[in-house]
Amino acid sequence: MGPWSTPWETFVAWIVIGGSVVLALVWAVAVRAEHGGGEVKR
Amino acid sequence: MSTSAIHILVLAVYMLALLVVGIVATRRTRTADDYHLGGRSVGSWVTALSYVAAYFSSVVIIGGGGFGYRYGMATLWIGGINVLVGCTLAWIVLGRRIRRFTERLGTMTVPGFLAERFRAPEARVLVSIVIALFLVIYNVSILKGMGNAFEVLMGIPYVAGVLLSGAIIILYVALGGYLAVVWTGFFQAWIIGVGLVLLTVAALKAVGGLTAANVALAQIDRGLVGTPGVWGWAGLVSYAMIVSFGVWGMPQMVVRFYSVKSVSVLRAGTVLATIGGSMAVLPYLDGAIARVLYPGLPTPDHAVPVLAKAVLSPWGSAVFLAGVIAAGMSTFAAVLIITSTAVVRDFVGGGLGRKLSNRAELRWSRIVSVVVGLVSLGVALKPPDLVLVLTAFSWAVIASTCLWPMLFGLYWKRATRWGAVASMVGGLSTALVWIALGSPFGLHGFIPGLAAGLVALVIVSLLTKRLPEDHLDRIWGTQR
Repeated sequence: MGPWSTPWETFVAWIVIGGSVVLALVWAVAVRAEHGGGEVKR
Repeated sequence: MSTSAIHILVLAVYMLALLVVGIVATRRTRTADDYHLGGRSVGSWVTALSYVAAYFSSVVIIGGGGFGYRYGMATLWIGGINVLVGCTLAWIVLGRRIRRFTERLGTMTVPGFLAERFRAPEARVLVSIVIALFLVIYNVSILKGMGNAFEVLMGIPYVAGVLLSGAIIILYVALGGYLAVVWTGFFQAWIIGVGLVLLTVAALKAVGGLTAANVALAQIDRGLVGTPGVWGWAGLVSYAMIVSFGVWGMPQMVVRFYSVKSVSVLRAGTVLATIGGSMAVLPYLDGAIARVLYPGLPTPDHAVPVLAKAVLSPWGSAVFLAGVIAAGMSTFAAVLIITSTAVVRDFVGGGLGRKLSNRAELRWSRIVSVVVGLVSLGVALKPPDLVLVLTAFSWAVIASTCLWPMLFGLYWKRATRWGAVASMVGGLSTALVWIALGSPFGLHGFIPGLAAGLVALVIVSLLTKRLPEDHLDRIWGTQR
């Protein structure tokens, strides 16, 4: 009985979380590019 | 050293550290703006992790474990959706616009933003009343969760636990204001995270790994390892929506975006909040593991406390206990400051039109924090049952009122004053009526409240006069 006998649903939460981290990173990089590296002022 | 001595030592060090942070924050709080929003000077780490700490209360840890125990692995979805919708997307969709718009409008509160954005003074009064009323109910459920944690994990009587933690929170919020809330929140997020990771590692070890847990759960009931499993889609989806999408309309959460130092802080903050928020999944997993190890508990809410006592060393369980208490304290503090701001700045200052001097406002904000805190404490000493239902109830009402006007206020220029007001009144009343009817069709009041609020906002906005173009240009920053 290996780890893949685990029902697929139990991995989904981890995949959603991993996907969220990737999404956040991609967004952060995209926004950085959009503003040429730094947006200022309060 | 005995286990209870270790618990008391760790807890005492932790409480002392909170007071020190509170005192340092007090020295930085000189004006009413400092008190309510930390002078818009907060960086990405503190903003992101205090957001996470305000998000998860003791109720989520204990109650989430209870859900995992009852419904099994399908509840991990709730944790996943918490991260994606409640953290990542909330930051991406709301963060930058809220920071920019509130600065252009010169407003520092959620009721204030809605009033200025829609030129709707009635929105300020309505939302500040809803906040004051329903966040106090939420406060009570947080305190109750903490009191139960003290009782079950440490054997400290409920009343003593509630009074001790409540008094310390009221003290540091009243003195240090918003900065005390976010700094202690930052510190507490770490404790919550470490506590949950320790418990999860020990629980996985005790049960023999994730696969063994799944196999054993499937033997108890196949539904405990499937989706939607024994809970069913209606319950699972509506609960996940309330605790994830609902965050978008919760003032104590979105206010974090008002107070950041600059828009660029939100980039790193989004990543940090996502990573920090991922601990949301752990209580559900721990609860499911507890089902395997301790199948006959009298109530699912005992799952996580019993697990912690059994699988952790005395030092480990002391840290976990501090984490549970930290989760409750950080949320209570976040709610307390936002209620004080709503009452003093929006209801008295904006709604009743009483102009207070800076010093008077600072003094009154402190007094209101203490009064709201004491009222919550008083009610929590002899509270109604069903912690999680109560939390979901108050969340649902606030979110049904604020969510659409907030979101459409940021993204739809055609949204009008009366559209926003109709959405608030429609969302609030539908949610309340639905809950009073006993949640027909097994659907939580949040869903019909949200649907009514959306329809009302769109239809009434399209039927009423558009806001002046120069006002919208100023907010969107597109004027020539």
